[in-house]
Amino acid sequence: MEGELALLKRNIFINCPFDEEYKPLFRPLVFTCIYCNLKPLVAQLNDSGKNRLERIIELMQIADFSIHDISRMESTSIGELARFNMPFELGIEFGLRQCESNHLKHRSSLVIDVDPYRYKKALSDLAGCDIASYGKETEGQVENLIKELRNWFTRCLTPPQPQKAKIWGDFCEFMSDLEDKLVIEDGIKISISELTESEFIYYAEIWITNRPKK
Amino acid sequence: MGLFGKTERIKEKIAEELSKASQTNNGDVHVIPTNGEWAVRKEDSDRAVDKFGDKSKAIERAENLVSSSHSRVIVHNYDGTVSK
Repeated sequence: MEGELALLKRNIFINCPFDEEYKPLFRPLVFTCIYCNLKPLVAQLNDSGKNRLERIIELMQIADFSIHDISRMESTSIGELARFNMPFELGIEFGLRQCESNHLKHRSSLVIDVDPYRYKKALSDLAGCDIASYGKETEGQVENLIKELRNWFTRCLTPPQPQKAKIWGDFCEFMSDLEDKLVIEDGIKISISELTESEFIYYAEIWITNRPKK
Repeated sequence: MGLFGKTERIKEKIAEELSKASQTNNGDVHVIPTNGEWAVRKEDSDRAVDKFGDKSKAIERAENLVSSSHSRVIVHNYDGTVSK
């Protein structure tokens, strides 16, 4: 039974920044989720007319897993304010777990940040939770993120997940295929950075689902 | 605004092309930053053919591996995008 369940696509709620600066991390994050047979749920995907917070709670309630990136808890320049949406949404999930169904109570969550320890000062209530860090340096950051996600999925999913090198290599192939195919009319191309998050997820699902299985 | 703000036809056309691309091996060779080195990887392969500390040496090796005139050497940035 467990084996059969493992083959079904399960939902994963993604709590992260939605802006240009985060796109280089958002792309491998959702790609790795899809690659590991999970369906990413992001609050931006739905335009149901509900307010954003209601939509977030709705998505959390149908998710089997969740990822919370709290890296924006620290401002990086004078006058810039820290972003509290991500820790706030993480708090909502903790709250829901206390009073909701068994399904939600048993959900696995991963908190990620650029640094493995600073949450102990900024959000010390998280002590004892699973925290993974992907580093501050641009060089190697995406690889680290894929590795941390892959390792976490390996702990919570069956069958075992592909190696990080395989996911990273296929992500690079996908990025070059996507760049080649983003033609909107007679030779006019757009760049990957012009895609919305939901468009990127859509194309990643198409590419991963249709590639030959080995 | 994003692509979904344009037409469904364009979106579906791109999806169709991308689906074909995912099933086709053009013989391209990718140069990918990996663990502080540059990995040379054939398309649709599970592992790197070779790794180099020097990016230019990796590109040179990739050029030697390109199998036909239709194939390309594709060099990637640290975020996976294609280097111009």
